[in-house]
Amino acid sequence: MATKSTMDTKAALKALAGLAQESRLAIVRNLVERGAIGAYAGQLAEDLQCAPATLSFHLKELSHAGLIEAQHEGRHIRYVASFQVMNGLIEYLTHNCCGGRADCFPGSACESIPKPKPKRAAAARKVAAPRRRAG
Amino acid sequence: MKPESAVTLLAALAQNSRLALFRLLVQKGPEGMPAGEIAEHLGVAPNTLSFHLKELSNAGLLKSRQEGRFVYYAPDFKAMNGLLAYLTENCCGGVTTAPSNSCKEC
Repeated sequence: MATKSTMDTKAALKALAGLAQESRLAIVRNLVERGAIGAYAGQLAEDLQCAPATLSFHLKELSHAGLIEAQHEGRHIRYVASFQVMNGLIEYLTHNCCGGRADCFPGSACESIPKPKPKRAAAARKVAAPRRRAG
Repeated sequence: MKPESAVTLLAALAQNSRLALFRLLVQKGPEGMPAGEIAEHLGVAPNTLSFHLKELSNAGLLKSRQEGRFVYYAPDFKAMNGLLAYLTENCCGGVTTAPSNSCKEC
């Protein structure tokens, strides 16, 4: 029971509220799948069949919730999932699960939860076409 | 998991008291906790707690079982793990095609 969670309650609530909407959840999942490369708004609009104005609204909401980061590249904005916040949220929810007992989570997803890494990949190539999602 | 189920779970958790309640039960583990003890831990009124327990149960995040006079509440770990897996599904589109290091980051 000793360790403290990396995320505070306010941030966790913001992240949860940000994700609790179907379009926004789809945007985040799309960006999580794209990894550090992220996507431009146009690519997201195409993938998610979302009107630009609607998408823009949701992107702003997600940015405010800290779930995505907007990287300015000249006239374009590249959106990337904030893995630190995603992992922080997951860690927050599962923090000290079963009182820290080793045998908790039968068939655990806990182990497969990726750990946050402070280093950012600088490798995001300009036109590296991210793979499309299947579903 | 379907997107609408994930949204239901997330919306249920996106409330201060329910988040605290859920985390308390996650820490307690599968044996769960009777409502009275939960109320004591969280310092909430029984009727408020009852409302939030119902919300979380309806969303599918909690399981309850009767033991004598007490009702024990425990997290539905299957639902919880399903949600976490859904959020991180296919992260970075699989390691092989991802640019260097990007997957280690997520």
